[in-house]
Amino acid sequence: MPIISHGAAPSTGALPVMQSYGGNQGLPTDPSPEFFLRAHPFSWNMDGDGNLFPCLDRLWKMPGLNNVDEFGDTSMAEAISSKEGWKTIPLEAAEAGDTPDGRPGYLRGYPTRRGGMVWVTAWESPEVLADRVVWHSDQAGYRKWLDALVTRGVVARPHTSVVEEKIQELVSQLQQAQSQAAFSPPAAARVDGLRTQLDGLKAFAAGGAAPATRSPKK
Amino acid sequence: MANEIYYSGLGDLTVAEVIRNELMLLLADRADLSAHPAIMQLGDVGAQGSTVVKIPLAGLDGYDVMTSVAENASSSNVFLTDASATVTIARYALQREISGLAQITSSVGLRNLLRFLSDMVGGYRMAKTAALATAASGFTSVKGTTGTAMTVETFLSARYALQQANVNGPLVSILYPKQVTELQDSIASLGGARQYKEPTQDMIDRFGQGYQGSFAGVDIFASSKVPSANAGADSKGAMMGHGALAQAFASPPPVPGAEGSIVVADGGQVAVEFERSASADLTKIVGRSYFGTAKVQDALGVAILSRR
Repeated sequence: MPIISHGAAPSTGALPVMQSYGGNQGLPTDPSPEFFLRAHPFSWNMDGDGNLFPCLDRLWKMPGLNNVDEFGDTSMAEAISSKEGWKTIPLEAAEAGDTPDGRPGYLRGYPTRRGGMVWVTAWESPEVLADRVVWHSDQAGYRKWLDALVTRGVVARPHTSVVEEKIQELVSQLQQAQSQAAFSPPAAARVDGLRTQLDGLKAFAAGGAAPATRSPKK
Repeated sequence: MANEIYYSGLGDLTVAEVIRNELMLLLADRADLSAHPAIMQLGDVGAQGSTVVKIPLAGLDGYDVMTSVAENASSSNVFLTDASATVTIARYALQREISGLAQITSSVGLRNLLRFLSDMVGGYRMAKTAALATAASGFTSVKGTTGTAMTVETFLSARYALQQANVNGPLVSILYPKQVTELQDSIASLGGARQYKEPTQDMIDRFGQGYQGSFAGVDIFASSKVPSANAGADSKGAMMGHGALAQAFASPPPVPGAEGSIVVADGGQVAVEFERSASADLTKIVGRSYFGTAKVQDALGVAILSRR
């Protein structure tokens, strides 16, 4: 059944920017619910140079999912999310200068032909091509904003235990790729990249991840 | 030569096009993931006084270990650790409306409004699948690298993380279709002892069309409902053990006097109601269901990230 988003403003923070596309027809895609972005101390991405940046998740305003009630009230879902260690990123954490369209807030909604809205981040933009939607993603801008979230203290720097776990994972993946390199060209091709990531991550760790105070649960 | 009979001249004896009597379905993801034993099914939770179901969790049966006590000492009480997870059900619906004229002229099976039963059941199952895939993307532990292809190493690092966290099977992985094909490609490039097990017909019969086979003891499902992440750059699939996610439903109760216009489908989980507007000669077909999906134990799952 299609998930009909109500088009209402999220319960807190700045209003999302709602844009129409292609007149009143809307996008030829499925609607999707609104969401908040959230960060977790254990959820980090790593780029090709071994730098860590937050891997944000979405707290969906989808009734029946993760305790969002049938009216779209996320208070119980947010309480459980917070108990698990997630930190909800307020909509206003994306300032006008952070987004490609120069408008504040990280949420953007577009009407769909099937009814309801499709909700995406401010760094995603649609283009209709031959009755399909091609989504463009401003990855450089999004990454810049993620780094800014850490710099501004909205998201805490990665814990040393997280960095150590990532290093161990990379060491294991590098060993695996090296052992297979002799008979697997794809594995051989991965060796250099993994080594670069490992060196970069070790430098990142030396540069000052947050101090370890306790061990992660896994 | 004159008066030849040409098709182009038989305007009154031909029609512009004929409709084939068999209705073909538009391409869509119709793979229902809820049949896998790794998904905890709480069953019908209706008639119990709440939309919220609490799942009690207790640290028993080996959670706390015995400790040695000296012969002349007394043992002491050990705190019983408990926790709980909740699943909240909500209403979902799909509605069609057909006119009498559209119905009586239909040559493709829409004369019989019961045709819409499978439409409603399909819509219900895909809503549940979308909820499962979305809930699975929310595990706090994440494996994989943004913007890069899905690899065997990523899959195995998720598998090892669960193994190290004492997560028992059956394990299931829900991946975006591209994640599955990139994983297959990565496995094929390796060779060696680990083999990808292609899905057999009996497994497809059991788990549905989304079942893609298994690798390293993990059943793999593909779903286009797996959400994107990182501003659309990545897909965020997952791997999990039994009890990581739970689903509950509530059967819509019978309505006295409306027995003839309500049909219950999918084991009582979907009620399909027919509502007539005689003056407009319109018939509404409304499918409704009540279900909820939630993460139960975060430590039982790992999110898997790779390029979209």
